[in-house]
Amino acid sequence: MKMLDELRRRDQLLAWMEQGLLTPRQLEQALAPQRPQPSVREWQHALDRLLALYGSLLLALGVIFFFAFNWDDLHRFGKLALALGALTGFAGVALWLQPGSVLYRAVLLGAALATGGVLALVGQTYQTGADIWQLFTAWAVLMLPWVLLSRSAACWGLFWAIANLALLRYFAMHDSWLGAALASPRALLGVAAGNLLLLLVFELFAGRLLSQPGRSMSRLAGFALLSALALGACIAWWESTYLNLLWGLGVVWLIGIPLYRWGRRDLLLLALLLYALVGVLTAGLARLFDSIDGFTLFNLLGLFMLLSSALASVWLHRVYREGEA
Amino acid sequence: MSRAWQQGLLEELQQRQILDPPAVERVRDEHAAPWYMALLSGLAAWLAALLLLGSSLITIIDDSAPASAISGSLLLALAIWLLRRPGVFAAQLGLALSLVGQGLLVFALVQLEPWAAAGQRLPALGALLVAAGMLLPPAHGAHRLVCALIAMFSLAVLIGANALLSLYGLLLAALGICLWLQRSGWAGKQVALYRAIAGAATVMALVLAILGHGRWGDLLGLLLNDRTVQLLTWLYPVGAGLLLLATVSWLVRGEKPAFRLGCAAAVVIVVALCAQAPGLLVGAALWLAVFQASDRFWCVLVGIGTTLYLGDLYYSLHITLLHKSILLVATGLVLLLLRWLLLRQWGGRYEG
Repeated sequence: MKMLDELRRRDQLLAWMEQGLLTPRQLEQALAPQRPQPSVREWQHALDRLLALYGSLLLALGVIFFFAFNWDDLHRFGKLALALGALTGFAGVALWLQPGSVLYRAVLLGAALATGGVLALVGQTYQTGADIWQLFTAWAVLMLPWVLLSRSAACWGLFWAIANLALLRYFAMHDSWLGAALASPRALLGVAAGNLLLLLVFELFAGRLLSQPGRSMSRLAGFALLSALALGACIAWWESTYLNLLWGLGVVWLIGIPLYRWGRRDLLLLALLLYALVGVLTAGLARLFDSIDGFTLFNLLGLFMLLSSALASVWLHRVYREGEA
Repeated sequence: MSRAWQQGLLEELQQRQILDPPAVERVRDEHAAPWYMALLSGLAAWLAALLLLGSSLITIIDDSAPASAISGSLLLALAIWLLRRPGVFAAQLGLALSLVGQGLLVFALVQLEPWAAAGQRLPALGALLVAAGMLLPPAHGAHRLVCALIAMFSLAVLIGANALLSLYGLLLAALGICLWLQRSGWAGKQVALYRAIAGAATVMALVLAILGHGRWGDLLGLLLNDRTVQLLTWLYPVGAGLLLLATVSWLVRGEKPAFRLGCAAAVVIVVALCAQAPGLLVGAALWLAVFQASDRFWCVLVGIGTTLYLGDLYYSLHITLLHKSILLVATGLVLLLLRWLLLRQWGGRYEG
């Protein structure tokens, strides 16, 4: 049995005891011959991963902090040599390690972070005139080889964050993403499209892109996709320029709900789809009855939200319980 | 889906005759929903309660403290009743009503003009007492966790931005660590209370570390003399270091003396390097404790909290970026070296 499964099993048994569903005696029997605490093997497994991950992370962040300091006494060639040395160091160590090992994935995370450090240094030293979104875009593109080689969720998570930052910064400059009171339809569509692409990639190729395929990347991309579409769809009830987002969300519901209910079961994405539906319909109701007095409108909206979210909650619970069948 | 995995575990317990069929059914019926379902339905219930109650309460309460107090008390009574009901939505609505009720009681205290001179202290004291009281009635874990968080946050407001806040942060971390290390010994009716306090203490300890001792130093500089500030800025790092050392010592207490000594030496080196980034030490101590407790959710949460602390460290002004860079590179190298030494020590006994 895998280490994570052992930890999960013990956590579940302890949780059942805490809920009064198991007696201490039953817990002891269920865990036997193990104890309620992690075994030496599990500690070894955890420390191996933790020390590799945080060791590489701190090292890479230290390099980034160093270049952010912009030390005047150090010549620009010296700085560049240091940055490239750090990047080469991470990449070189990865070459020397067994592909797929814990440290291999950790040093490639370090290489992905150090790539950003090198780009920031080049921009800082040579005053390239590049905007911050261009830095993030270049970082996301240049880190991709490390991410593809590492096949780790942490590296993909970093890629997702940097790619979304690039999108947000681009639209902040060109479409007043955060400057204006409301996000522009183009910005929301851009973020939604980027995350839809990532979601599709991970739904289709997660097995090849991750050494331990899980749902984390699909969920991150799905969360960002639904956030952008649902925000736009709520505004669309008042602003016709956002109607594309409402239609887009409609298509996502039509495909996503059956897919995550019966096809590729994912309760988290299903819950996000349903609660986004509740939110958008509540906004639509507010638009439909915006001429009535505030007291009645608030009560109507509250009642609708209460009932619709209760229905969603009950249905989700039913789906959750069906998972055992 | 994880539910299928839990079903497998239940079947195994039934096959091994640890649970009889009625007990298996009871576990199936009462098994808690995943955290994200509780969170989303809680948010929806909270918004619905705000919309439903907000318009009525604004009309009823106006600016009257007694009306706020009465409405708040009624809502709390209703929340206690709902929290005992079965079903996720009733539980989440109970949580929402409880929060609105607690808010109204605190609002009533804010409206008491004769006490206005007390500033935030009277409402904070009120929030502390009400939240502590609401911790006691039977309720699901999320309600108790939120109440414990409110109580601990109110106590932080009562303490104020002074040196005691750093001690408070350390005490909460110590409390969280002690409770997590004893998780397998939690028993009886108080289990839910222990869990809520352990969780809330962990979150508050991480938040107080993230908010940064460096900023407290800046703030204290305005209020106290240089010598006192110098002493106080060391209080938190030293306490965090002792906390990590005590946690590691407790975890390796059954090992050979040479191994224990090696662990202590490694911790002392890490503490010396991270004295200017004590949030890392607090995060490390908490992570070790939650891992010993085998709680996967809190392992992830503490990991995220510790990583966020690194973001805060970048902006903190207590040391230069060059100093921080050296600190991080050195600590990173020490951690990698430590891993290499441990792998050598374990040798063939570790499969990787």
